[in-house]
Amino acid sequence: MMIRSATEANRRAAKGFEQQALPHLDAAFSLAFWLMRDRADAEDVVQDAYIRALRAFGGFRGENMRPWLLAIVRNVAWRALAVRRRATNNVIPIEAAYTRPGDDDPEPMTIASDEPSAETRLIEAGDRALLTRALDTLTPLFREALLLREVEEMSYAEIATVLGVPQGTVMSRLSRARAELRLRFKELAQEPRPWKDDKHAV
Amino acid sequence: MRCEEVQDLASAWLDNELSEPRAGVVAEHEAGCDACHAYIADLRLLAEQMAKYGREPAPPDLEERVRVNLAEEQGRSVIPETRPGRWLPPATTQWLTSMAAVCILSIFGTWAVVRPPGTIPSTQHDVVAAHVRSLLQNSTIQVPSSDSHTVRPWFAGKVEFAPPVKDLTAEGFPLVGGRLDYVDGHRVATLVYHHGLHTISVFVWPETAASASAGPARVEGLNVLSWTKDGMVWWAVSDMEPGELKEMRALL
Repeated sequence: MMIRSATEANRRAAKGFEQQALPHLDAAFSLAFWLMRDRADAEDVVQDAYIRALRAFGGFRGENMRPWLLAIVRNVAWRALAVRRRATNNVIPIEAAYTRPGDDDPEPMTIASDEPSAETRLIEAGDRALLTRALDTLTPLFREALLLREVEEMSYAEIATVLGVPQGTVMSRLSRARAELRLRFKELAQEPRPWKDDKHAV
Repeated sequence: MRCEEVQDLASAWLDNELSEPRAGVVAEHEAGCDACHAYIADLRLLAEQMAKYGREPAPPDLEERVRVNLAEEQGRSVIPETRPGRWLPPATTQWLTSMAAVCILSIFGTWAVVRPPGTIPSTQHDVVAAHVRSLLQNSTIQVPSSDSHTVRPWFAGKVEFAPPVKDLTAEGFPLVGGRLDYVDGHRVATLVYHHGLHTISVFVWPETAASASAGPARVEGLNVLSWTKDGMVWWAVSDMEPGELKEMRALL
């Protein structure tokens, strides 16, 4: 009888958790992906994070679910990154990152032949692949802050919850992240090098 | 405000997270400064790009797989007792189990060695050893007498109690004599009887809290019987049959 009622309570809690947490699955996956930079790793992180979140759900007191959940995703991802750093010392050759495997003759990126102003070039070159490469050059600390702000449109208070830092830190980190992203974006836009985006699902 | 400071604050200003009066200062500066205006325009553009392309779509089946995982986790956590070793790899659990077994064996082993006197195995060992030793010597007795009135006073001054001494010749257990033995760290009185060709050592001493008696036992081919009676602890050791020992106990 005790076990049955405990089971019932457990089931109800799990149901409540699913209803509140599953709507944020896309945000969770996106955050995990931008930290791990690998879809399979991101899936593992999300699975692990949801299990951990369910276990911790008893301590969730009805505050905002999304920052609470994303904080767990973020912690799991950073742990996975630390493990990966310890496990692999090999660096991906830069050419491999620029071309698809088996792509012997990558098409050169078409760039404007005349010399436009830096601002114009920034706008013209703006596309998904360029953004991705620019983000890749940033530290994950900057990537996650930018993602939570620009994509998830979280307030500084919410971002502070996810990252576990004061709001003032969120403010300065975002400022530095944007300045850094802008520089990298400009550099890459001027780069005549052929490159392809092969990390993203369309 | 210098351009550097404005550009530092531009990010928070764009996010509407900059409070007055700094927000007003930044807005005013941006309106009149081409460099800062261009910088902020770049940030706006990047923000748009991020919003547009930043969301990495989750695999369509991820939600279902997460649901399945959560259901499994929930099923497992209903009765936590049904998931032993969940937090430990099986090898670690096995290792811990065997270490626990070693610890328990060690505790019992130590207890067997250092256990307080008066418990059955050590007493039993002492009386059997005393009986066998007496048989190895020239005589099993120090005071030869079939007369209980001779044996009983002999113990006076040698032990701190007066052992009950009975001659059981009429019953088939003639009293041969008495001797002193050392059992459980105390001097005890030992009465020696015969029964046919058998020699019986009957050890007797006052009962204490630590005293213990045990049922019949067979040790190294000898039968051992112990009991308490009239505030005394009795141990009888002999090579005669257990039934005869019990018969003798009834007489003493």
